[in-house]
Amino acid sequence: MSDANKEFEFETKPAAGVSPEETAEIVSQIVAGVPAEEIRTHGIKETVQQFNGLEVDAKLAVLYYLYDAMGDSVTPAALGSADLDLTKNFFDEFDALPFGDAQLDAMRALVRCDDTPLGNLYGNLVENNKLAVWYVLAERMGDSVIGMPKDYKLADAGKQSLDAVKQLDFEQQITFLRDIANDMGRNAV
Amino acid sequence: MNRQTALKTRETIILPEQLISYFEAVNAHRNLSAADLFCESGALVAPLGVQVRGREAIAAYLADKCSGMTLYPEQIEVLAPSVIVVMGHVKCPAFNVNVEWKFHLVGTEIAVLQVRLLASLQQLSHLRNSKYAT
Repeated sequence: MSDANKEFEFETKPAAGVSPEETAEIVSQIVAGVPAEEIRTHGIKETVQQFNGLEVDAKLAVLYYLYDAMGDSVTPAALGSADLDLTKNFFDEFDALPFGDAQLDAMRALVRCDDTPLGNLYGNLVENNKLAVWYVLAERMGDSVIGMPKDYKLADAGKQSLDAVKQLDFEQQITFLRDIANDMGRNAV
Repeated sequence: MNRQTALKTRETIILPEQLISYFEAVNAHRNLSAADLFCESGALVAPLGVQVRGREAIAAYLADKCSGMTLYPEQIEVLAPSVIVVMGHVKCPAFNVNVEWKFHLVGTEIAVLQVRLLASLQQLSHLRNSKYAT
């Protein structure tokens, strides 16, 4: 406990004399000061559309560069057993692949939403875990997963997509990655 | 008269009881208990200005979007007796992200909770000057 906290006066009294109607009005006033959701998601929709127009390898490259660029803002978490369980089936299947082109083809198939065993395992994951799968893949690329070729040149469309995402604020970038990740693989009907 | 209780985190900070209950309930995935800490017309303003209003909707939102997440409150700033900002991080599957929770209280209940994802905790100083801060 730090001494600095002792001077805090928290509101701990029941709200005497505040009716539910008055409380609802207070809530409305606070919420009215928050920028509307539609404005903030508009930019994301455009960048998602731009990204969706890219060819498969450019998509992989943009994803890789983005996760890489986010390294300062987002840090890897030590994997707990609960996390491992949720993505375990996916990585058991992925890690059975030999290092190299087979891994690259598997990632391409995910991006293209091909009907593969891996794509179906991926599709069964919840949004947060799909995001996690790409985070882990990007972390492992260049190590236990085949990386971007050193001489890979992102075409103009890919550069534009990457630039567009970089213009977004952090919250929007995370949402962009989540939206992109959610669309990949074979979603369970 | 202040019922302040320490919540153990990496650095122990003191949070009002209803905030402790909120973090504990979300971390235990007791989403209905977490939603019950809000007043009946309470609102959760999630990242990107997504507005969820009412206890039932808040519980459903937490169940949908917070699966697999653990919240770690680390710092507290009291802007007014009824406006408390908590900074910390959220452990998502595979990675951590910095988060700011801004609680607006009415009496002992949470009227509005605004949640923001932050690229870094340093970002807070500039938030103070934006329209996001009161």
